[in-house]
This record gives sequence, structure tokens and C-alpha cells, in this order.
Amino acid sequence: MHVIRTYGGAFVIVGLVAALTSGCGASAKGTAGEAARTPSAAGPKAAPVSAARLARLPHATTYGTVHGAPADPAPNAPLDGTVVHPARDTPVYDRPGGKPIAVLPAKQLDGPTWVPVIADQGGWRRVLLPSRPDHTSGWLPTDKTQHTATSAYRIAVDRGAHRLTLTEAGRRLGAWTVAVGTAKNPTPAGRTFLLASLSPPKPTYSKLILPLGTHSNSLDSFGGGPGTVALHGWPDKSVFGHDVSHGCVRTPPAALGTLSRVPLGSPVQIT
Amino acid sequence: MSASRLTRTAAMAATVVATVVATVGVAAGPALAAPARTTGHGSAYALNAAGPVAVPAISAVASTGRKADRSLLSLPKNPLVKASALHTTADRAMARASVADLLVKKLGLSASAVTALCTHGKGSVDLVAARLGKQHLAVSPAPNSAVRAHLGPLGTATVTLNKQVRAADGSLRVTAIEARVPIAGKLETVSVSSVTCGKAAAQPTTPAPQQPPAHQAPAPTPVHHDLPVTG
Repeated sequence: MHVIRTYGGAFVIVGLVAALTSGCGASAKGTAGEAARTPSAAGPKAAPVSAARLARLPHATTYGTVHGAPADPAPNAPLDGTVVHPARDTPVYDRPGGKPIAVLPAKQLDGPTWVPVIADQGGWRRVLLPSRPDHTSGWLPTDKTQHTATSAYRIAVDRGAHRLTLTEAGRRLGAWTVAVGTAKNPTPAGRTFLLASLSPPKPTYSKLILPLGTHSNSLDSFGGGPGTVALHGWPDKSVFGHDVSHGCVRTPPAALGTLSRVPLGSPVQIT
Repeated sequence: MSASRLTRTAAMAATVVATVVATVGVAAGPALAAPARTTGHGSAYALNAAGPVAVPAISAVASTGRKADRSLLSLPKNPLVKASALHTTADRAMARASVADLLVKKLGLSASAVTALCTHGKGSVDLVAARLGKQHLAVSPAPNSAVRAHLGPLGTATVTLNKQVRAADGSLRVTAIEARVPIAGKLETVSVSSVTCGKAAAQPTTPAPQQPPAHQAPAPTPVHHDLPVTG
């Protein structure tokens, strides 16, 4: 990118001329700031992974930790709603043609795995991972067994305003006052996604738990779980509008009912 | 940056800006200046500024068929506006544009995310954590909501949220935020997340066979499973 500067700091973005005319060249590493979503024709082939090696790789689930996963390049940017479901356990690579770092299982938490796609190029899809560390990604070699789809739903959580807003194709379906994490155990900010829809066999505080693809930054584990942050109900309405949880977002029953139909993988933006 | 410095800047840069903007105009022409069609056309750009400081349409895309998609991680440094994750997409039926971490410091305008969507001639806007000065802006503002901002010696700026302009052929242009800022007597217009699409095609005489919505993610079925979460 070239920027012509003149006296006083005026600018003209010359490099954009090339970007606008070149059809947006794909850059896996994003060195020029471009991250193409338009698939290009050819890309590096995936290194084969033996069954033995596949078995040794960590699983990219809410319980897992994946070392060497590239960071989400834009952790605060809106997701476009493209989601993918691997119909079989699929190796995750650190870059197109790179080394395998994890396995994205077809199922997790007894439900289908759906993750957001953040780039699509040369026979590879870059996806957000639900594992630790948070805000990491991985590359899946595209194959015909993967199901891709689009979710028009967006969940926005404004922690300062204690407000959760749900939209579908830009149309607001509802906005509710919610409870979020305390200053000591805050609800983590950034973009994440709806990971699962769980109906606990013995519900204590909520009949529906909607885990997200993110974790508490302050708690390595909580209650025997891996510190997963979730959306769920709460029986005592006095909590709504306050910072009271260990990171989860507690919602009124009406919100949970509407949220229950949001597809897995749908974007969740926490600010 | 003071008003006088911006004026000097604009004067010094005028020739270069005019030359390069003209060049960019040719490059971006198909995306921005393509004749609007009643159906089958979508276009979008993430950010554009016109006036003393010129920024050509960023991440401009246009399509009459297959999906076109473009992203830019961040806007190059400039004296007017900051933004990251500029993303646009368009196909024959829809267009979408979004930017994150928007900041127009002179105007006191900021937002975590600004998204405009146009589908079959219907538009909507989504603003996340948007503020104009101390004022919180609505998440889904009504079409053509005008907000004024007083900038002291610079004058008064007008910010239009969810600006919607219908063309004679039925196509709709939706701009999530359009700010018109006076800079030393000249008008600077900053447009954030702008999309255009045609209206829905008329229903055919013989309805096509019902097809499930293409590529629409399914609603989940809750599974009997427990996961201790951070309550």
C-alpha cells in the first residue's frame, strides 16, 4: 500500500488503485492488509495426515487447547455469517499447505460443529476455533463433505449498557437487558460465535445453555468445565442490568426463547 | 488537526488529489457508476470521503451474478477517519458493507461496527456501540435519521443514519452513516458502509417449484447435554 503524503499530512491512497483493479489478490498471511473471501482457483495441497497422527492432534473444542493456531486477524470486526460444518473429523492447519495443528470434530457437546468462516481462498477455508486460546483460527482444506451455509442472525452484547440485541438480516428481533461478568471475571470482548445449544438433563438455573466459542480470560476452569462463556437464563430477574456473573451473559426468559432458534456458528459480537 | 491546517492541507494537495481521484474514479467506475438496474444488481463500498480530504471508495464491489467479496484489514493512516476490517460483498440480489472500529475524531463519531445491508430493494442498518459525542446512536436507526453535532469553531455537522435513496428504477442505495462536516468553509462528506441493490423481481406468472432457502444455516436442536459454564 502506498500513501502519498503532502505538506500538512494530506493523503491519497494510491495503493488502493491497484487493489480496486486487481480483483483483490488473496494473501493468506494478510501482509498487505488484504484478506480475500473470493475463492481463487488454485492453492497449496493439504499435507496428508495419517490416522495415527490425527489421533495425537488436539481437538478444537471448547475443552481443547490448540497450540500454534494463528490469531484471528480482526477479532473486533463483524463476521459475515458464513458458517461451515465438517461432516467428518477434519484436520486443521496453521496455514494453507502448512502443518496440521488440530482436529475439528464433526460433533462436539453431542451436537454438530458449526464454525464461522473468515476467509476462503485457493481450496482452503479459514475458520474461527472454539478452543483455547481465544480469538484463534485455523485453515480447513475445502472438501465436498463440508456443509457451508449463511446465517442472517447477529447477536450483539453491549457490556456497558447490559444490552443484548438480536437481529436477522438487519431487522431487530429483540433487545433485552442482561447481566454480564464482574470486573474481576469480565465477559470477554470481541467477536465469537454460537457454539452449541444444550438442554441440561437436570437444569438448575436455565433450561437452555448456549455456549459460545470463547472462554473466561480470568478463569481456567469453572464448576468442572473449561471456563466456557455462554448465554443462558437466570431465575432471579434482579440480576439483569448488573455485572454479577463469572463471565456468562444471563438473559431473561423471553430472550432465551428467541435466541434458541439462532443457528449454530452465528456471529456474536461482544463490546 | 485544526481547521486552518486542514485548509492548507487541502490546498497543497488539491492537484494530487484531483489526479489520483480521477484515476481511482476510472478504476472504481464499474462498481460505483454502473447504471442502476431494476433487478439483478448489487454493489457496495465500505468507506468514501469527498471534499478537502478525498478518500476513494474503499473495498468497492459490484456484481450482476456471482458473489463478489472484498476485505481490507485497516484503513491507511489519514487525518480524517480511522477504521478496520472493511468488508463488502454483493451479488445479483443483495449487497452488504461493514466496517469496524470506526472513528471520526473531529466529529466525535465512533462505532464498534457499522453495517449496511440491501436485499431485493429493501435496506437496513446495524450500528454496534455507535456514539456521536456523548450521544448513543440507535442500533437499528429509522431510515434517514438526522443527527446534528456542534463542532465549536468548525460549525455544525449533519449526520444521517440509515440514509436511503430510492432511484427512479426502483433500486435502493443505503448508506449506514453519512456525515457532512464543514471544514473551513468547504464541505467534507464521509460515507460509511454504503450498498445498492435492485428491487425484488416481479412474481412470475407460473410460480417456480418451492425450493428450500439456499445455504441457509439450520436452526439448532437442543441436545441433552450438560456443560458447566461461567454462570
